[in-house]
Amino acid sequence: MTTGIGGIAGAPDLAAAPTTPETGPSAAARRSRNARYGRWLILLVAAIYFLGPLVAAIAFTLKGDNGGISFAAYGDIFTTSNGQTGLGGALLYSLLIAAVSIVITLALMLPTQLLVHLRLPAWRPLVETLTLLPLVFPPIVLVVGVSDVYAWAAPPTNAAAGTQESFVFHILKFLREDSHPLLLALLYVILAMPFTFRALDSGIRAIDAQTLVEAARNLGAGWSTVLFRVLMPCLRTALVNAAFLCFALVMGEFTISSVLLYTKPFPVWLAQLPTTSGQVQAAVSVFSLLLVEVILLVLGALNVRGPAGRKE
Amino acid sequence: MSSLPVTTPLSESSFATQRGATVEYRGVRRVFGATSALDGLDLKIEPGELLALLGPSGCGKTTALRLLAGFDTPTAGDVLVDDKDVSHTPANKRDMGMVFQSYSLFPTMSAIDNVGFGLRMRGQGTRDRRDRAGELLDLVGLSEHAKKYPHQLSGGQQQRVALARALAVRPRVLLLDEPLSALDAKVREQLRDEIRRIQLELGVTTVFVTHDQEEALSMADRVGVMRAGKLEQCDAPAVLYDRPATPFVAEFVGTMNHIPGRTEEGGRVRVLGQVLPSDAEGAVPPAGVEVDVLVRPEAVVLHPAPDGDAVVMVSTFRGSSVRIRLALRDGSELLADVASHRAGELAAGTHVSLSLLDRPVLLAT
Repeated sequence: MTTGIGGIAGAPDLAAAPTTPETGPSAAARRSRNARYGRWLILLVAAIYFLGPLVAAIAFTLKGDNGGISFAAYGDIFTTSNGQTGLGGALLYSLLIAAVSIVITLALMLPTQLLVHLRLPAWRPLVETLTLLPLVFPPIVLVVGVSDVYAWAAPPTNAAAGTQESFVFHILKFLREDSHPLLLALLYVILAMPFTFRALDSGIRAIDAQTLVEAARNLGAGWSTVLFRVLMPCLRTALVNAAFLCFALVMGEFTISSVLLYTKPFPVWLAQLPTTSGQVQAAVSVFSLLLVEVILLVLGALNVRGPAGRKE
Repeated sequence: MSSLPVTTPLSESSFATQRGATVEYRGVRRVFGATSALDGLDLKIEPGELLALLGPSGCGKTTALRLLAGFDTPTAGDVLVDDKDVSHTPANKRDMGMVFQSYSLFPTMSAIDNVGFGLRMRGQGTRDRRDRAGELLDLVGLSEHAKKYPHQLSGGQQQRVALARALAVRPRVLLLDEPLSALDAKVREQLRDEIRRIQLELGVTTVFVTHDQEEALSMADRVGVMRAGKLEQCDAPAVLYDRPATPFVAEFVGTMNHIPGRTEEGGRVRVLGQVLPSDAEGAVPPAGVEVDVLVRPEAVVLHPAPDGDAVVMVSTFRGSSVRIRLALRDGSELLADVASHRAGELAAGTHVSLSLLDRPVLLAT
C-alpha cells in the first residue's frame, strides 16, 4: 500500500500492525513455552535461596585437611558433648518435649475449635485473635513473664532454711524440673497456637462438621464417639499438619529454653558445644536437620491416604 | 442416565413389620433473638403417615424438623412422640432416622459401614450389623456398591446410602430434610418414587421438608404449607390444590390468576362476565364489593375467535399441556393451560374468546 506525505491513507495499517495480538497455534505454543521457562526460573531461584546455605554447610563439613573430602567431622558428632549431654540425649530430650507439646496442643485446640465451629461461631474472631498473640509478643516477653511469676512465688533468697514454700511455687518447681520439663512443653503449646489453630481451622472448614455431627448424633452416637470415630478420622490431615508445625517449632526453639537455663534441649545443646571445631558443629547441624526431615517424612508417611482417600 | 436399580420387594424382607409413631407439635414456638422462627405450631402426624412441610425459605419448616430431631429445643410448647414429651431428649436418644440435603455420609467409612453405623451405636455384633446393612443396601439397590466410599458414589447413590443408613436403625420417625434438592431432575424423580415406595411398605412415620411443591404434592399423604413460622394449611394434596384455605396457599401451591370481580347476592361472584359460586365458606363479602378472584390456569377455557376478548402473546410447551399468556382488552394479562394438541390453533397473535369453568372460585379481598 502506498502512503501520502502525511501518511493518512496508510496510517491505520501501520498503527494496527504492531498492536494486533498474536494468534494461532504457534503463538500459543510460544506463550506456553515461555510460561514453562518462567516456572523453572522461579523454582531455580527458590532452590538456590533455600538449598544454597545447606549445600555450603555440607561442603564445609566434608572439607579435608589436604583439600580432599573427609567424613571425619561426621565421625566426631556422636562423641561430642557440651559437658553434660551428648547428641543422642539432646535429640531425645527435644523429641520428648515435642511429643508432649503435640499431645497437649491437640487435646486443647481440637475440642476448642470444634466447640467454636459448632456451637459458638460468633466467638471465632476472638479465638483467632487470641491465637495470634504469640506472634505479636516475642518469646522473650513470654519467658520473662514466666520468670517473674517464678520469682514472685519463690521464698525470699534470705529466708531461713525450712521456710514453707508456697503451693504455686511447688507447682512451678514441679513443672520446671529438668527431668520432665512440662513448663517448656506448655510454653511451646502457646508458641505453636498461631500455626496449629490455622491448620485445624482449615481442616474443620473443609468438612461439613455440623452435618456430620448431626448425622452421627441422630444415629445414636455420644459425643466421644462423634469426636473419635467421626470427626477425627475426617480431620486426620489437619491433625498431622498441626503436629508437624508444633514439632518443627519445638525442634528449633532456642530463646525460651536458653533463658530458663535448660541445657538439654537440642538447640541449646548445639549452641553450647565447644567451638574448637566449626566443622563438627556444622556437621551436627546438618545431621540434625536431616534427622528431623526423616522424622517428618515418617510422620507424613503415616498420613498416607487410606482406602477412603483413593480414587477408583 | 442410569435406570432405576433393581431393588428387593419389602414384603420379602424383614422390614415389613416396622410401624411408625405418632408425632405431635403442641403450641411449639422457637425464637432466635428478635425473630420468631416458629410461632405456635400445632400439628399432629398419624402413625405411618408421610407429611410434607412446604414453604418458602425462612418459613420455619426446617426449624420444625430440627426440633423433632433433637438438634434444637423449643422456646415454648412440646414435641411429643407416641404421646411422650421428647422436647428435651438428646438427639442420640430419640430413635429417629434422618436424611440430610448434603448426603452427610461419613467420608472415611464405606457404604456398608455407613449403613451399619447406627447399629454399631446400638451395640449390635459385627455379623448382625453386616447382615442388616447388606439387606438395607439391597433394599435401595446398592448391594454391589457396599465396599465403596462416598466419594466413589454418585449423588443419587450417596443419598440412597443415606436413606438406607437412616432406615437401618428401625427409626420410629424418618426425617427427610430436602433430601432431593441436590440431585438432578431425573435422579430426583426416581428417588422420589423410591422413598415413597419404601416408606409405604415400612409404614414408618415420615416428615419431609421441601420447598418443591411438586415433590410435596406427589409424595405426601398430607402437605403442611408454612409461612412466617405458622402453619397456613395442612391437608391432602388434592384438597390443598383445589380448595386452598388462604390466598397465600393458593399462590404458593400451583399458579393462580388474579382477575377483578364483584360480589353478588348468595355468595356468588361476577367475573369476566360470568357468575360463579365463591369458595369462601361463609366469609363472602356483602354484594357489590370489588374483589380479586383467584382462578387456576387450567380453569380458563379458550376458543379461537376473530372478535375475541384476548390475544395470545406467548405459548410455552410443557409436555402434556401448553401454557398460554393472554393479553386482555383492558391491558391485563392472564395465564391459561390447554392440551398440547391444541397448540397449533392457539399460536401467538391468535384472537380468542375466554370463559371460566363453572366451579367455586377463591376470593382475595
